[in-house]
Amino acid sequence: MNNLIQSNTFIYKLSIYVVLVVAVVFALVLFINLKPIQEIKIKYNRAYIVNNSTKINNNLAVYTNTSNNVVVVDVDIPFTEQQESLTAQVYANMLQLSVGNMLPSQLTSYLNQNTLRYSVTYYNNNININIQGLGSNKVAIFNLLNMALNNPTINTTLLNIVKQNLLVDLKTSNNTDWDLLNAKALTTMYGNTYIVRNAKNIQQVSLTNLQNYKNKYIDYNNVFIGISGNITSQEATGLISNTLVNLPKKPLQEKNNNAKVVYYPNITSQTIAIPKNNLAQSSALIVFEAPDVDKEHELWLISVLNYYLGEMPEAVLLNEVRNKQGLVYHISSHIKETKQTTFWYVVLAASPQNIDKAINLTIQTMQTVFAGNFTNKNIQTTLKWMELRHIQDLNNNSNIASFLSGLLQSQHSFTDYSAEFTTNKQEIMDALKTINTNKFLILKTVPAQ
Amino acid sequence: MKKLYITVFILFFNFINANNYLSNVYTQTFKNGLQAVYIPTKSPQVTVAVAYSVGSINEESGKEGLAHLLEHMMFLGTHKFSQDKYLKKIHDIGAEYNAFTTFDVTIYHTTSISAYLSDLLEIEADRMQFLKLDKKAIQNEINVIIEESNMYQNQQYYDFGLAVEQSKFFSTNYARSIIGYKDTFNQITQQDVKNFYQKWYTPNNATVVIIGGFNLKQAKALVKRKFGSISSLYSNISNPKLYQEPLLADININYSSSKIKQNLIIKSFLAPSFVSDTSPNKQVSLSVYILQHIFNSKNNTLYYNLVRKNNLANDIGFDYYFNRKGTSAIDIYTLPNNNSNTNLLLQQFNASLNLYKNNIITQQQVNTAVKNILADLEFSKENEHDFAINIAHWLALGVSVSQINNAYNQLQNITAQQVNNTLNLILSGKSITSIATYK
Repeated sequence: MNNLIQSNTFIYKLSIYVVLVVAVVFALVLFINLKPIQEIKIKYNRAYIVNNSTKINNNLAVYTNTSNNVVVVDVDIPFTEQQESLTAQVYANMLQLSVGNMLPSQLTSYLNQNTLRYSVTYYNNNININIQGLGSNKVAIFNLLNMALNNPTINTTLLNIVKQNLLVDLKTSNNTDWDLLNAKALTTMYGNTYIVRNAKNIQQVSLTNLQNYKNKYIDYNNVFIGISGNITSQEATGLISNTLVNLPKKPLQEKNNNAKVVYYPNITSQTIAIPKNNLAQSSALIVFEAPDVDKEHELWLISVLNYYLGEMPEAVLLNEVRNKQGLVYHISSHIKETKQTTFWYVVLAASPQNIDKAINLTIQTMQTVFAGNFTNKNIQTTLKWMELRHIQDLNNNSNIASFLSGLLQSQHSFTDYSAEFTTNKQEIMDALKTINTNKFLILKTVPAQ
Repeated sequence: MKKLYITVFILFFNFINANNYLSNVYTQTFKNGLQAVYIPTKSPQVTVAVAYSVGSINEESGKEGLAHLLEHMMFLGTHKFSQDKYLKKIHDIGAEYNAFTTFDVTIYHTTSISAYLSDLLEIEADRMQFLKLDKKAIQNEINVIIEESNMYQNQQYYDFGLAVEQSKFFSTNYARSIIGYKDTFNQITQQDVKNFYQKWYTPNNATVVIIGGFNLKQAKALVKRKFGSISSLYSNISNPKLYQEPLLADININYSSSKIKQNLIIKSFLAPSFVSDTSPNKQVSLSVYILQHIFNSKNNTLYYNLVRKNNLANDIGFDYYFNRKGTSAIDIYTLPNNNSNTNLLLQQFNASLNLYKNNIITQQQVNTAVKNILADLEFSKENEHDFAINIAHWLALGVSVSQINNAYNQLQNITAQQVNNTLNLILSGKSITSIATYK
């Protein structure tokens, strides 16, 4: 009997130990699985990039990033007059085809031999030069930049080739409906002050225009260079010194005397229908006022609201017009902001039978939001989304270089840069009061009769 | 014995000299068939790309557009996450998301901050199993797709492009429109969508690629936890018609429409894709890939003759569908400077192409093309999001990471003679000449 009791006690104790061990193991497994993934330290926000870049002078900044063996140079060259926009486009196209008086085929060979990726584009009152190369071939990158800035090819033969290319481009672009609406909107809002990109105006750009453009804008104080990649600031300084030294340098006074011309869009409530043949889908552009160019803070506040309305996964317009009604495939809203003008616009497209319904629903949705149908929580989540997007956008050298050149151009301080922006519903409602949200210009393509 | 030693030495020499172009890539296959690929970097963000080996070629006749419709439905909610909840989750983690459907594969890709890797995987695992497929939502989404189709139809070359594809691949499923046809959209039922989803969206038909700043061990554990227990119902199903019979005669397509603003000439030739290439070391498809770079670099005889010397064309281009399961094609195209010069350009185009039968591609051109292809790989790593999608695409086609790596190595062994031989072979076959003109 005693043996039996003893053995039972032993079994009992053993059982408890086993249960305890199993429980501990189970708890450990559970704990390990529930333990949150260690957050990767978010260090690539804009403040980090700025604080870890070397600003060499007012027009050059370098960010060393050895994650890949790539170097990117991004250059912004702003211009001030909208009427020079076509000249700027032609100039950009010429730079794309030839520099240093090379034949286009010679430039192509140079790029291929040195595995460079070179693009010159025009947007938002800037000519942008972007050169990407491997870290093992930095010299070629900066040689190319030197030729583009200091020795562009400006001659009749190249001008004629560029004009021909632009004319073909006008015909092949898949965005012709948007181009049509855009051009009509701009001429309606700005009248003759706006130079439309069409065949006639392209043909009128002359060598004199291009030479004057070069003399006016290719200047040490008007060229903003961001560099990012597998390169140190010392290397960059050494390689770019030749380029910078040779750039003309007008006195700052003269640069500042080129007064900025501001264009205020004349937005009146009206609908303009543009007939088109073979129309499978109508496109629409709805234009609202935005805060004036010099009201930077109000512009930023409206841009936050714009993200909420039309540029995010949970965008209100997408939800109301596409997800709930199936009226469109695409709808989005944007703030157009250049040095000279601002406006706010929505783009959408729907079948000709549904376009008016889509437009009306869009306007109705926007008016509801303008009336205050959003919360502080909506704004906070929008701000968080914006910041997270900025971090992701700064994940590669191209975007970092572009960010730096933009920052230099805006003359933001590098020593006191903070990426923290915050706002609330009230501030946004106050900003809305500075514009007339009851006026909107509607343009749409319709089937030709 | 001596021969054996030499062979072993050569193999060993090649092995130690072979470059690992896709370094830091880890692969894993689960019991349920799911393939996972991990590419840890120092980035603050992470991209999850999930590729399903299914596309428009897998649709039944009369149900065209089903694969693409299902792709749309994958964003409209599951039994766990309603559409609103899903969008809110995406929004809260600042994610960028999208998807696309091709003939062969459907790929979903989402990018966010590294800390949210678990959320991204949760979303993918959830919608792999529990998609809602509500009847009303399907109908609504069909309306959205009709608008998408209208958007493409507005483009001047869309109908022309479809006609060209149908002519190239008439005896295969590649002749279909991925987006579908308006008269078949309304024949697609809720049950069709459910069946397609259940049949094709299974772990053993899927590849998950993760790239970005993450801990490898933790990521593997996460994938195992989220996907490991999902069962696979998909079983081997015979492939649809992927291989085009050789053309027996040249084909001419003349498309005339008031939609066309800028005339366009395309000359098409059939060619194997990388996957369907059975030549030793894939030398044919790799040669074509090199040709693509040579022709698009603008440093070649065709460009010189048409654009520079004769000033008849604005540009030339060379398209090749390298990544496809079945038969592929080459499209060499050109745009006249002036629409009235189209016929003259066509003559010059044909004459210049004939010159290539004289083996005029040089070793220097080949070397420069290969150098730029390898540089492109370095540049592509800058964009982790696109890099993940590319890797996922290849794996969904059945090409492994080591095969991709091997292809990059093999590229460097391709000679000018091989490239010229390949081009000769292609040019001596039948072709399709397609011309779009303004009416």
